[in-house]
Amino acid sequence: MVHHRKASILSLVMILSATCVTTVGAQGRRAAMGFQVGQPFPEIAFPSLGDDRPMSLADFRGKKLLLHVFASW
Amino acid sequence: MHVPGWHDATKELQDAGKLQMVGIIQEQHPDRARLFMQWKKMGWQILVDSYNLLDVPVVPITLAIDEYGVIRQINPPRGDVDLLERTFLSQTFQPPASRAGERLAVPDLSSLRPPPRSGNVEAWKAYGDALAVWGGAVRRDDAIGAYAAAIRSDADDAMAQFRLAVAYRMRYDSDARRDGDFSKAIEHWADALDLDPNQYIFRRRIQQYGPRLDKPYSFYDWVNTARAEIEARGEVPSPLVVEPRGAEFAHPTENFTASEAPEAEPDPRGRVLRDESQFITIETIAVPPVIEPGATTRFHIVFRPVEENLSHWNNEAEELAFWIDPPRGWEVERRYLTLPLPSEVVSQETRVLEVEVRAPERSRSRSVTIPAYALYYVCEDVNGVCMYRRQDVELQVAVRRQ
Repeated sequence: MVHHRKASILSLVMILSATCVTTVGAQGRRAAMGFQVGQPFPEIAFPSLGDDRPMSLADFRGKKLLLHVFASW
Repeated sequence: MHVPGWHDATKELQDAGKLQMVGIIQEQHPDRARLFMQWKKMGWQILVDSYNLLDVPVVPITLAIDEYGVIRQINPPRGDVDLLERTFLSQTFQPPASRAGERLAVPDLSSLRPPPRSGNVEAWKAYGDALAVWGGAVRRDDAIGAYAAAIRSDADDAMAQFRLAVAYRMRYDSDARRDGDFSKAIEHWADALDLDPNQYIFRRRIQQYGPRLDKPYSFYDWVNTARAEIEARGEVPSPLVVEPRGAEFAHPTENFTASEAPEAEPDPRGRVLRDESQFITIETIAVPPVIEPGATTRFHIVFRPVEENLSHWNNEAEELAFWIDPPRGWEVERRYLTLPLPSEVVSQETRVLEVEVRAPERSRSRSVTIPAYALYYVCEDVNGVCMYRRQDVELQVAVRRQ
């Protein structure tokens, strides 16, 4: 019984620890990426691929979008 | 792959005008992404961020952004369109009270002036960004100068180191190439990574050219498949400014394998007359330039005919040969390397050999010079005198114990 309770407490501690790690990890990832949910995407202008025309995310405003920051490798 | 998966999963939503797809490319050679997009039939808008103005540490990142430009989700579950529709597309969002995003307008380069000599790293970096991103090849030397000034102001600014490296590699890949550009790119990428070892965009740039033991995957093995499939569709593959080669195609490996086959040294007594760079210049670059004991580096050995002397390769004779004589304890993939000859009788192209070398496990920290030499047939001009020449080369790498 004692063993069972110890195991339960241990499990709870482990779950809480894991939750903490997951939460901190998720926040850490968000912070590390420099993006925050609820914040506007930085209005940086970039050359567009193919013609170097300056574009920013503001050019796509008015419709929902999925933005992929990626590389072809 | 992450992005084509999203593209396929959301195709109906895109076609129905309910969802836009936009990409930002974090790549040294963005034209390769254009070929990739053509291959995967992804026709949406791509913006180029080779200098990583976004300051992202990793790719891919997918953001769900509402009609007001506000980030609503970061990395939504990959390809889960039902969830995306429920939690994002069907939601009504309110416009932000104020637009807090940074504004970086496209600079007017004609009126842009450098910061004062006492300018801080941020000022020089911003000046370099404007020149690098919007000045093209014409202002690339100025961009390099600006990023170099940023580093003089603060050598610990990892992003300034990274962007200087990007600019050097871009100049290396252009007609304005200068001796040492590739080496400097690798050196500054390595410095950037030393300062910020968790920055995977920095790490990937080195891995792109580095040894197979350090590669997470082949970077551009898809290029030939893409071209074949695009041509099979009756389309013309999008051209590449710089063809990937060597390390960029190489697949990762878990074990370094040195050739065990007996290899005969081609000029053991050193009797072949020396070129002394009169006809061919040879540049060697170690990627990375500093390794730990037991680690590998990949040497890029670049041969260029000297234009002022009208030098040409003679392709009617034996192929270009390269012999490496590693110090005791050092291993090399192959000691004797050759390059196949092109079909033309004479030619003037740049030739590149790549070979990997492994340091001894018990090596102490020091700079190491690995002797090597090249043997080749070269002509004074298209119809000039042709001769067989040897050029001695030093492959240099530093070993550093952590």
